[in-house]
Amino acid sequence: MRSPLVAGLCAPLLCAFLALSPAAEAAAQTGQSAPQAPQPQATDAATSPEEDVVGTINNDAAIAIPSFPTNEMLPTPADGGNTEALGRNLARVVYGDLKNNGLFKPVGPDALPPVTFGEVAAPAFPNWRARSAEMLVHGFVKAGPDGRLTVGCYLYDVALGSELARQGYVVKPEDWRRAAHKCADMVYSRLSGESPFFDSKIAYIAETGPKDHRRKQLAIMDSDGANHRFITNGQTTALTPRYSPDYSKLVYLSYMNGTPRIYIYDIESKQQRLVTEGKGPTFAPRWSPDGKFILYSMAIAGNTDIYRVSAGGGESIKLTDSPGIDVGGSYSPDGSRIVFESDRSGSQQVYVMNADGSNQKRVSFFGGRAATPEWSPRGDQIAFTHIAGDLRIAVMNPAGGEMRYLTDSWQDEAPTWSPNGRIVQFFRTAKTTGRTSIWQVDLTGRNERRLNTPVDGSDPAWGPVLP
Amino acid sequence: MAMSAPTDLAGPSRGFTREEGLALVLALLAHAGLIAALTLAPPGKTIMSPPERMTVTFADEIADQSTSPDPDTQAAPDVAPDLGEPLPQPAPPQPAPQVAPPQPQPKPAPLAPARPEPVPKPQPQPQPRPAPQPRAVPTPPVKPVAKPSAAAPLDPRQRTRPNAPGGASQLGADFLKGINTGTKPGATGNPADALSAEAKAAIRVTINRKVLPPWNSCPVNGLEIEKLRASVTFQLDRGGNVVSIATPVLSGQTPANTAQVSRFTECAVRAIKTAAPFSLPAESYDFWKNYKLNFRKE
Repeated sequence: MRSPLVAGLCAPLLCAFLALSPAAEAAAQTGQSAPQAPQPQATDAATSPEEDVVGTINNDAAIAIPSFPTNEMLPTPADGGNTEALGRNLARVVYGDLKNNGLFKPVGPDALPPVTFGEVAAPAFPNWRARSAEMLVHGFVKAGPDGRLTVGCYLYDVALGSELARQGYVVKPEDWRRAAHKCADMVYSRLSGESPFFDSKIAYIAETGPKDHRRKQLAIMDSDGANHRFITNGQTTALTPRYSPDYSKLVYLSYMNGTPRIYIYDIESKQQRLVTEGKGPTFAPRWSPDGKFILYSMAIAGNTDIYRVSAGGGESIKLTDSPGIDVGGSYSPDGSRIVFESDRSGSQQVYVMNADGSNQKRVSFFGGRAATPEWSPRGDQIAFTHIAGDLRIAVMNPAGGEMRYLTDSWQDEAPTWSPNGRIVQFFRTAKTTGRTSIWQVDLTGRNERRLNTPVDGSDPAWGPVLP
Repeated sequence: MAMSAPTDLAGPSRGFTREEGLALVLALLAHAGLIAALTLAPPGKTIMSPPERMTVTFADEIADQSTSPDPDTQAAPDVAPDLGEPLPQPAPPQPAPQVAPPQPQPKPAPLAPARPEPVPKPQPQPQPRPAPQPRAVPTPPVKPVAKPSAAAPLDPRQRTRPNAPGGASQLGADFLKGINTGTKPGATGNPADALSAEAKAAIRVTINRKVLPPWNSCPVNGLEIEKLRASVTFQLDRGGNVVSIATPVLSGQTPANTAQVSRFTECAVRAIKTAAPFSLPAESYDFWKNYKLNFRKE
């Protein structure tokens, strides 16, 4: 179950040696009890005493992440200048990822003694037990003759003294952070059960200038805020960016010629083109999960409907046909259904329809208004903005049940999902100053934290995990 | 009789008729009589005291079996299963002068019985029981050794404990005949038909206290985690070490917590492995050798 996942992660990143020894995998899955496993059940299960062990749901996994040693100190163009300094920086990035995630209590390389190259594959478990570490992340970095870096990553269970996972990555020096993110992803997904997500990018709208004359630029960055880059120069207002599933393009809304229109920006060629030559203003673009289609909304004579168009251009197909405003379609992960917002009942509410526009049904029935729905990549949740006085981020299941608030502030809106469907990202507007900032919150409603951006930010959108 | 005077006075002065006065007097007499009858205990009747208060305890665990120890049924044997062990006492003459408590005269006698001692001992060895030696040499030899010497007080030669106090014993010669002795070599004495609730609770607390910290230090986080249950059956050896752990049986899986299921069960198994060994009372090994824990998080 786990090894295809690891292989899938690993292969596109030029994986040199592949993860997970068979023994470790067997141990991970069966808890090393396979040989005699069925015995007690068969013989004495009926008579054996039975007790409940009731624990608490907490985030108390102490993970030690010492610096990644190197076999030989060599100069490298990557951050730090040489492989030894780079090893420390790699561990710092892994530490930062896991710490910000909130599910763990990591201890970073700056608070731990260094380890030798030999210890990476054979950790000194007694020492780590003495430091009351539950889990241990080891790694190493080697510089190859061609300048490429080999980064190894190991996860150990200190209490059991066993290896839980290992991976290796070969990266170009400028991609060294991705190796650290992949390592953090391995630890995260092995211990949380979730799919990885650290090795991903975020597109958002960077806001500067006074309240009544905001400059809104399209910008991108890594999931931890590093490698920040502006895409547009801010001469025309940009809004609601969305990464294509393969990261090659961004679709967003621009006021380039005065009216709001949807453009596709090609990141490689830095060219952009209009999605459709519609009659009216177009907005709220979304990719289909396979990247072949774009959903958008178009207003014609006060009536707004949702359309679908091929990403390569061509004829648009109208999916809704109600007299009200239908806007903001978002595909389910299998592409079979679309969740959208409509005011056909008199106020904004969330509706679900089939991908061809049939079988439109309202799903939100909990008072107040519900806007900007976004289907989780995992498929089991829909995030939306609930408007009842304040604007709050909430989630519900696709049938409209089990609604839960994730935030409680004055104005939180425009939720989007992390690629693994575990974290919801949104932007918050401060009541007095009108300044905006990007926030993330765990699906459980805990671990709310602000993302560091160089300037104010809004309309965040997470791309998929990098191949 | 004394009453008639007041009636006469009352009658004319208040305007009662004679019948009314008479009725009033009769009524007063009747009341006085009734009060007297009620106040004085009628003779011939005993007053019952209220029953004494009784303390009632509600037990949630009842059993057909007795949980009180029965020292007789499985008492430790009074003869060592292997009588050869204590033999190699090379110097029989030495202890002799010190002891012989039943005998008031230490010196003259000891020398005589001291010598024959090596001879009679080898003899009983084949006699008692050649067969019951399935558990041949565990610990029993140590314990029974003391008893057999006491159990055969008719042989003063066997009482050779060097530190035994001198003087006569206050116990009669027939004292030990009243004690039931067992025949099962492995018996440790004081068994009960079933383990008491207190003993079970102690075992439960011991296991829970050791398993809970590693269960808590293995976080599983996400939606509807509180619905998951992992039942793990495991087997322990006499030392409290885990012999085997069965594959956990999971329940409470929902679409929202599916991703955490594998880690949840893994953590349950890890908690047992990390908590072992358990220090549990050896005499109730049969009770705890197979144990089942239902893990959950709230």
